[in-house]
Amino acid sequence: MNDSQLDSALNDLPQPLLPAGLRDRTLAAFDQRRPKVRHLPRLYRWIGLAAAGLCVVIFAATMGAFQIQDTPRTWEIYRLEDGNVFAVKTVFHPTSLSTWLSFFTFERESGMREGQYQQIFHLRLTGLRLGYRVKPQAAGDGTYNLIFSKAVNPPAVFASIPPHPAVKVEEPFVLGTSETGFYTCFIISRNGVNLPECEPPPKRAMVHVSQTSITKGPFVAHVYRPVARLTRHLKISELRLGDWYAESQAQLSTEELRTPR
Amino acid sequence: MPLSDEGNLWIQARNGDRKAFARLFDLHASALYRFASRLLGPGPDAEDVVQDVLLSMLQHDKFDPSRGSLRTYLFGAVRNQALKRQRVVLEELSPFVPSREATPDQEMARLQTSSALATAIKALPWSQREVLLLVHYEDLSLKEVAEVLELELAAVKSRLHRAREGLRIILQPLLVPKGDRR
Repeated sequence: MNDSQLDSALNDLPQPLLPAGLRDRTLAAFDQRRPKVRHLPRLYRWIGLAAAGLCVVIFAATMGAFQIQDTPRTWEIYRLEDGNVFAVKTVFHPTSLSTWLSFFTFERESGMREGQYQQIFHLRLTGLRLGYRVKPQAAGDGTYNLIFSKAVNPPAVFASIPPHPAVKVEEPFVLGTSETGFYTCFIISRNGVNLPECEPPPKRAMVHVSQTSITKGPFVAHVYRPVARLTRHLKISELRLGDWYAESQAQLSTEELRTPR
Repeated sequence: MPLSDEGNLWIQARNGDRKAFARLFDLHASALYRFASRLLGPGPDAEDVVQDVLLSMLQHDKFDPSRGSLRTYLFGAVRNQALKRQRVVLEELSPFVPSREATPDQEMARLQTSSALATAIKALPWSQREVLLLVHYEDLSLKEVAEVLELELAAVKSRLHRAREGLRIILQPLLVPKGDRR
């Protein structure tokens, strides 16, 4: 018996056929045992997308609310025990998702010098910090700390701010900007703050208004022009709290300007 | 190493994809059943082996594409399952289907040969039988058989040679022409 005869004999052996029903039985067993959670990931994706969309809506609404509520047009004024005055305002910008902290420093006692102005600080705060206030606090070593009084618990020291040595102010006071000879002023009351956002910070002129009574006029504005080396004193009798003041509206006279108060 | 299409099917089925599992069944179940039924004899045992091997993916997946093809893995799994059962049942193979073109004498002779061949194959030692079945009926190469049985290639060749020699001895009287039997 040679190899070809043996192969021929082997080929004659019938092929066992797959039993009918084995496929169905096996698939049924597969259905019973297979993981049943295979569609859940897709469901989770939809749930995640819906949750993310809802979060975006809530976030936008919250931002809008805070933009309205938490963007004060007034400044927080803090008068410290050492006589220094801080004006602080925080503004949240939804576009940059950041909060900007602006503040002024003043020295109350020693009077304002000619040709100098207080510094406006703009600090960008990291992260989303909504609805907080910042309170200055004397560190005791001649510097000042700005402390979060809300939304950060415990309150944390934010920065150490040296007082501006050159700026002296009497209250109430008016800040002014002048690049074109046109002054814009705002009256600050004793109990509240109405300061304009001075951008750019005043570089060439300073308007300083003092008064003896918050409810009575006249207001006196001290205008400092470093370029002209001229100190002008304005008498503004009709200026109301919160009003913008422009030079054109002031009834100035050379006599008044050259007469120190 | 990129997965083959069958490897992807296997992963999808393992994760519960019914269509992938049905596709794998259609691709491999017939061959696996042939092999199992020739090892164990046709019937529930062979069916159980095929079912268990294919469903085992849901419990403990040991298929590693880097070690060989899915086909050789499945044959190896069937062989191991059959070994576990250790029930070599000398039963009849599938019903013999006569050829329509053969004469009655030829059919009788063929039937005798097939029955004798089936009996002879079952009489072979297990180690020789599995090699013969994989090579001759499932068209696996010697290298693939070595992968399935986890043997050296030389051992596979040796077992195949001994299996064929054994069959030759058993079948010799049936294949000798009648005129020569004196």
